[in-house]
Amino acid sequence: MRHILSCFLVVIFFGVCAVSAEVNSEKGVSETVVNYDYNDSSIKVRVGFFNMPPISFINENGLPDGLNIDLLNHIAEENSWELEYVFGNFLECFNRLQSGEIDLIAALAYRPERKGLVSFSRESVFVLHGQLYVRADGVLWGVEDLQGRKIGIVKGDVAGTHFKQMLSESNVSCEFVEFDDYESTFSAVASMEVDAGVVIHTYGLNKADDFNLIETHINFISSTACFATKFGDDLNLLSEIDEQLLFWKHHSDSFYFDMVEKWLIKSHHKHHNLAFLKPLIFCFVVLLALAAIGFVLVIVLRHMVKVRTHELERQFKIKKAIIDGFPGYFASIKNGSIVLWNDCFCDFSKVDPKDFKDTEFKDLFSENSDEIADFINTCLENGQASIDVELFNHSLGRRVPLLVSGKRVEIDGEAYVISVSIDITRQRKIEEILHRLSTIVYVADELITIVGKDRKIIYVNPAFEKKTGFSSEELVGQFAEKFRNRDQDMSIFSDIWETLESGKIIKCCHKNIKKNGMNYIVEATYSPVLDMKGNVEYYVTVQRDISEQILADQKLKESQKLESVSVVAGGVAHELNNMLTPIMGYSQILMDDADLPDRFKVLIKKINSATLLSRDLIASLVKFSRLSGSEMESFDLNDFILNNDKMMRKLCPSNLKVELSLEKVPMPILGDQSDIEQVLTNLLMNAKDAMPNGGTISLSTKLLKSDDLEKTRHYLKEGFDYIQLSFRDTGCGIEKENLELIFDPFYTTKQFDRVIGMGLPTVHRIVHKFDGSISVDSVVGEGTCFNIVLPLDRSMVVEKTVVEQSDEKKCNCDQEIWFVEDDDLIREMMTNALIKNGFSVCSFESAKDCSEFSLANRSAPKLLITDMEFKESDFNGYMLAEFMLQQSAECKVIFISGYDRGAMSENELVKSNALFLKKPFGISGLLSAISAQLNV
Amino acid sequence: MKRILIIDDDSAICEMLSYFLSSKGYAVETRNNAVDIESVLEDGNIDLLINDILMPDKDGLEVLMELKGRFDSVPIISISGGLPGNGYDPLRAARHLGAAKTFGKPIDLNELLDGIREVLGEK
Repeated sequence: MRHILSCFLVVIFFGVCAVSAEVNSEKGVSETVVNYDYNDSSIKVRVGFFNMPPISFINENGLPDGLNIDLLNHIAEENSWELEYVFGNFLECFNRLQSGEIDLIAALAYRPERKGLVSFSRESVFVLHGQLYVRADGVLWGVEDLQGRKIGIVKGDVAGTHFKQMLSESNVSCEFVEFDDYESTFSAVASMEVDAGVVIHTYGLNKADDFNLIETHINFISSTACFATKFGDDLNLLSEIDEQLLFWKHHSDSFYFDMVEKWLIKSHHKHHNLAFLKPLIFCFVVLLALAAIGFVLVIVLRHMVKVRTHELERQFKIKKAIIDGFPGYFASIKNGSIVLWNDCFCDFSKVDPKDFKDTEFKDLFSENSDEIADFINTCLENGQASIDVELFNHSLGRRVPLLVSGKRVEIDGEAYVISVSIDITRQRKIEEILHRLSTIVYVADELITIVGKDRKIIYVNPAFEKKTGFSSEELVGQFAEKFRNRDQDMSIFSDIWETLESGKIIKCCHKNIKKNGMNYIVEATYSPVLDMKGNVEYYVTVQRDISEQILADQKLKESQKLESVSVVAGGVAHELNNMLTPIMGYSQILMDDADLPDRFKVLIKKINSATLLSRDLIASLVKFSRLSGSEMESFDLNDFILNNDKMMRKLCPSNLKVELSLEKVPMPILGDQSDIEQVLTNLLMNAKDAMPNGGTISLSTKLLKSDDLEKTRHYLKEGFDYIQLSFRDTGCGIEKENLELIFDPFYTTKQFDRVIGMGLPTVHRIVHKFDGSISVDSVVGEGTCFNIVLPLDRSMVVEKTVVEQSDEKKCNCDQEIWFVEDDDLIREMMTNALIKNGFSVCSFESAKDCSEFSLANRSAPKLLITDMEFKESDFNGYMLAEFMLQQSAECKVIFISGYDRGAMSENELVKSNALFLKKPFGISGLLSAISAQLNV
Repeated sequence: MKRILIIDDDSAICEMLSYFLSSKGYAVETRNNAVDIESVLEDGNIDLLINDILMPDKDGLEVLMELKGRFDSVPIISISGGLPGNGYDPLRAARHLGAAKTFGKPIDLNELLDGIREVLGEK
């Protein structure tokens, strides 16, 4: 638009310039006339003239001008006259000539009465006549109509004089008003000061239009216009003029005729026509300019319209291409109906695309039509909306998930909804994959963190939070370095960062710290994540807690030495025993030989003891090697210690005192009871050897809760409860340098013929088999304390009151059930079954053992379960029952036997307190018999 | 004179026991395997069987199971160099299968002699 305006202005500018140039060129003509160049002249001629256009007058430049002036100038040039013009009115000129102030009058009408006063040139320039002018709106008068009118004339003018004379001859009287010149006269007529004015007709021709006057039919003969000098003077001037005029008049192409044509014919017409045409020409030029501008404008506008139209068409095509090529479904909806749609929208309908028009948009979504209707309403109300729907795509032959977005637009005051639907199958798939990936990260047991380039944590997964005890909020934004254990070589972390920053993956192990201050060891993989340009964007760390693995490795290392020994021993035990058999056999045969001299017998005896020692060694090695195969069961450690109290006391000589201090809580552990028995036996034997002069053995148990600091000594698994069994003696103690060696196989400080050095290694192996730990504190001369930590079997923790332990005898008395059975398998099986069912059981191999124990402790059980017959003994079940009832009349008895009850005792007391249970019987049978006897 | 049959794959043991028991007034027969044990027992002259448990051709426990119920009149004493472990004690197993007495190798000959006398009812 701006271009159009500037074009228009330029065109106007050029138009105006063209017009003004034309005006200027007209001015130029008059100016050339004005610029009259006087030649040097020896003769100076003073020329008077008065205003009588176009003969003589002062032009607009104040210079003398006119036909006579031009002619005179030409003649003066020819004759080298120097002209000096003196302007005045007619009378002034006439008087000046008379007084000699001027030499020549440029134009003077020839009058006979002036002949005595002035000399006229013989040749006249042209003929003058007077003419009466009136206003253009006036009436064209005859002479008779002039009666009484006011007529303007020029004072002393020849035309005026003639007019007066003519009127007086016609007997018409008028009022005359005299003016100084013709111009004043015309002015007076125009201003209605006078009714009409008399002027020389040449003047009237030139000026009437200027004053809006018209000439009347009244004109009158006057005279010819001649050059005049004072009568009798300067006749040579006149003769020169006459000669020139005469010459010119004889030549039709002379200057004279040019001038006459210029001033009286052409000039008059030209002047007259020019004045008349100027505005027309101006108007014409303006119109032409306007037309040209218009034309140019039309062309420019047409071009612009064409360009704009082309541009719009192009834009329309582009927009259509965009809409059609848009990888989505475009529809314009008005009042719920489709008014415009793109090509691919047709995928959703079998309907011919042409028939789409005015289809209800919601009808396309048959299943979701209500939601779509709501969606359109929401668009119209809120300006925009979006919705997820699924739609069957006929082109793809499957349902596709769509994100339908809508926007309200107003076109010509009408509301439309522009709807764009995008197939989000891919996004859905990506979302699904992302969801899966994030789930992996979320549920992974590995500790996953994302760390920014600034080494600050961006993300941690739940496993990390769980492991460290820190929440995500506490971790994110913190430096990753903050959660390292400072006790390790920190240079590993500078290596890590250096490697990462170079874009490489690094794997390493290091220690991290938890919120509770505890350490954990991780195997970590640090990977840099690069952007498209290959620059490091952030780091991903995947860490695995390998603390337990390291613990296991340590245990493995410890036991490897023992393992190798035991494997060898287990494999060759049988062969060794076989080989020892003849050695021992023959040595015994020889020893018994009465013929053998005694000195040989001593030697043979040494062979025999070495053989016996070898046998014991093999037996302990086999025990050691076969630990791993035993059966696991849950049992209470306190109960076990109480049950084996007798056995331990049996092993101790009289100068040793055994003290028990058991924490009164259930202490179930999972393992093989015989293993613990071995542990106790070995420790006891050790203690016994350490206290040859007597002393005290203190056995105590204690529950270690998961947060108990006592555990830190043992580097145990987190989150588990443990039981600590302390075995303290008041013996000689162990030298500090030997402490590390005591668990090595075959290490012993004792004399060779007494011990074989497998006791403590066996204990160590058993403890580790239980996932436990053993440590030893010893002060030489004061004693040694073994601390054994075993994991609590949480699954078996039941509320059970532990028997008061202060009186060690009472503990035995309080055993609810005594079980007497010579068959090892049956006894062990039943004892275990009863313990598992919550009973306290003390078992005996024979009735004799049982009665001796009862006597020694002066106690009796609540319930006695006994076999009827015992091998190798006549002391049978009946006798035991009778004996026990003597100790306590409250005692109940259950007899078990493979035989019929026929041979049962006649003792009434036994009869009334006893039940008979025939073999074979199941656990349930035994339990129901027990409950019958104990009323439980 | 009581007749004792000793079955042990180890010839040295057989030899040693034979020497010892012969010196104690028993008639001793030895065999290195238990393959044709039944035919020997069928002859009816054997008063006591001493058998090893761990043998390559026929295991001592197999012998016990075979003889149980058929030759109950012949008491059996089992001997073995194998030691209890992994929940399995060969000598205990032998006792359950009917062995009158069991002795672990290396054998104390005096204990063995006591056992033999006890089983044969000579004590």
